Amino acid sequence: MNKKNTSSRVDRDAVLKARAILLAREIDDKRTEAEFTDVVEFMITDESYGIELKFTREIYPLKEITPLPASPAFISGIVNVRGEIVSVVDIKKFFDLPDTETHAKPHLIILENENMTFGLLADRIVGMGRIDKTRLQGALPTMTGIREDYLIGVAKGRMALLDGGRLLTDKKMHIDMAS
Amino acid sequence: MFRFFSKSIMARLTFHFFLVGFVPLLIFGATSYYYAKNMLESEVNQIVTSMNDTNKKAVVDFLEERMKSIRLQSKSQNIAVLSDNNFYQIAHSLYKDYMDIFGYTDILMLDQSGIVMFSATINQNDATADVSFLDDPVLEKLAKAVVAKKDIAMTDMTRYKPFHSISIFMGAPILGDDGEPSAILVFVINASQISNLTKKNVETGKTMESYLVGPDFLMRSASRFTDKSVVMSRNVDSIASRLAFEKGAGTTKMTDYRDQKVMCAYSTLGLNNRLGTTFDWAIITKIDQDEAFAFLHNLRRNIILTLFLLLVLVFGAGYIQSNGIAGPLKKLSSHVALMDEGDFSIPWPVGAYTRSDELGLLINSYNRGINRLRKQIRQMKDSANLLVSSISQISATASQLSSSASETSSSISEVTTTMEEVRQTSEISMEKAQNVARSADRTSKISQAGKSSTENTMAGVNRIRKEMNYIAESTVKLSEQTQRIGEIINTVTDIADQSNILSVNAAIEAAKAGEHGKGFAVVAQEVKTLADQSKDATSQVRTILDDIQKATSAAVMATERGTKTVEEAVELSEQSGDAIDRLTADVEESSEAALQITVSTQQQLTGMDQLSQAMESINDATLQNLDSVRQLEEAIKNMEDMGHIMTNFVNAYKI
Repeated sequence: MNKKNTSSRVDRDAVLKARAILLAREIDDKRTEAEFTDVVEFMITDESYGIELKFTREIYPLKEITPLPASPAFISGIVNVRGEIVSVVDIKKFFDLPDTETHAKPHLIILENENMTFGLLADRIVGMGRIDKTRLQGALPTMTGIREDYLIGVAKGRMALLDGGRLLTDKKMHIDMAS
Repeated sequence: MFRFFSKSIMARLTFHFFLVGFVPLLIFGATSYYYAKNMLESEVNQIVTSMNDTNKKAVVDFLEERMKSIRLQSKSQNIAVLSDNNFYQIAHSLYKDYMDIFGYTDILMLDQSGIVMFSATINQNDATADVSFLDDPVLEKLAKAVVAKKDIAMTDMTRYKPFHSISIFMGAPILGDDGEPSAILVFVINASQISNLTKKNVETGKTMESYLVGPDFLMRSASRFTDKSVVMSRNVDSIASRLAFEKGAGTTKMTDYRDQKVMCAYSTLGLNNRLGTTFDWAIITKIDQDEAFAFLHNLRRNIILTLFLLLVLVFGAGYIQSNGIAGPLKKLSSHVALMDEGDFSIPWPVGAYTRSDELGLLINSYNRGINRLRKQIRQMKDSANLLVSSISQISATASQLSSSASETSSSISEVTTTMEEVRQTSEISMEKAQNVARSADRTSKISQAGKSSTENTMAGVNRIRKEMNYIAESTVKLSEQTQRIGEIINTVTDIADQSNILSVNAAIEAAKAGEHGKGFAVVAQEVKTLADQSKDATSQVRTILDDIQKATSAAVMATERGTKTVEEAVELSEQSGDAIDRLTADVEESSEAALQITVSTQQQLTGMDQLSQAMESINDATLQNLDSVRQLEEAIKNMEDMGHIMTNFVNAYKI
């Protein structure tokens, strides 16, 4: 009886050790190679969002939106930015977020690449920020649905970093009135 | 019977229905029956008479024809030859045909004295055959008659022994050259031939028959219901036969030889007149009354049957009609009888007689009347009860009155003594009232002083109010200024925001410039920091401003409360002013009242004296009242008795 007990203890130690080796993970040393990027931080309702600076052209204080009939719900309308017509996308509607009334004065973040220019409605502009792209966390479990697809990750301070490149190249944004 | 009719309308009505409906019919039926009978009788008489005449004619014609034939024979040459030469042979052949044609039994030849010389049947073959057995007194008689008359003679029906038959002998003289009858020719006619005649024509009907009767009332011919044996043997000594020989012709009713009631016609043939015979026959034709009046019997039966049916109908209709009239009347009378006994309780069955004729009206009126009566009696009963109870109440009241009158009497003496006490008390109160008047004067002066001090208080309070209003206005101004500061702060905040955005845009531009923009990025960062600082400062100012605003509004509120309090104080001081005014007036009034009390107490004292005199007269009146109440009690007792009588009277009715 005793003999058997000791033998089983030896076996158990061996098993545990083997399991520890198997489960152990290597230390990630890539952290040292930080990759910083400048972002514009803004608020939509109570949630904090960010978008990389390289996709933004400018911040424009919104004065008046001209509604555009026969357009998708997320297109709030068009606006005249110093002689240029820019369409206004309500990211709340685009992400199917609950439409809460905010009394803040909205601002337009004008995104641009070589093909596309449009403005995102932001309830408040927080300011500039610099974040480490390598230390981004995955999307929060609450951020599901369509939002997940346009998210790069969540930076500290729960700032959701939006994929500006994807938004600009997204087919949904291309509205061909002719079709 | 008449008493029954007089008691029952129904019986009387039924009887009158019978009288009016049935009796005329009865009379009508009887009359028509009587006339029908008479008519029928006369018709039957005519039929029978005509039949009788037909038969009579037949018989007379027959005999007349035979007579003519014998006359012809007796005068013919042949006969003369025969009687002369006695050629029997020839004679036989001659008469044979005759006998065959006319149906004679025999043809005889007699001499003047009646001796038979020749018989056509006997001397048929043998001329010498003896014919003496044919001699008979009848023939002798005939011969004598013929010789005497020198003309044709005829015998009545006679039983002729030689031939064992009943026959009629007809004799005719055969005159010789001298004109005297030399021989007599005799035809023997069988009675059955006559019978055949009377039988032949009566085959119509069932019971009609005809027969001949001789003066000896023996039948001369067989009738329909008899054979020939009755001829000359049956006696028909009937009313008809006698009447025929007495009156000649006519009709009668009688009972015949068959014990049947018959209608008969009778008539004499008148042979003695027409044929010159010594006798005469009567012919009688009759028919049974049963047959003749069969129709009449039917009529009578039908009339009786109809009358019986009508009787039933009339009685039925009479009964129903009179029941329809008398039934409700009976019911009504029973109701009225109950009413007579004072019983109104049985209600008339609703809807029992809903008819609109006079009876219906009567019943309806009766119903309405009885209902009204019932209602009245009920009311009477109620009022009688009410009366009795009222009387007992009155009686109780009267006794109470009596006792209270005696109480009043004792109370009055108490009142008199009390009054004396009151008198003394009012003297004391007069003194007291004079004291009160003096003290009221003093109080009036004090209240005047109170009034002037209250007016001073009111003036002070009004000044305070003005000061409070000034404070309130200043506070409001302060509040307005504070708000203006808030607006300025908003503008500053706005500028800070815009600076922030400007810094972001600058940063973007710097980023776009790459390495060259790095310095610019630092400037942008500085701008942002500046913006953030100004924003912080403004928020601090805002916090302070908010505190100021809160304090200001608290001050405003406090001022308002103060103003209200001052107003209340003004109001209160006004109220106290008023109260002091009223107090002054009251004190003056009470001073006056005390004076009046003094005066009225003096009047009271004199009034008390008058009152004691009045009390004495009241005492007298009370004693009189006592007597009256006793009389009243007696009267009420009488009334109570009357009420009981009335109740008993009303209770006799049942409703």
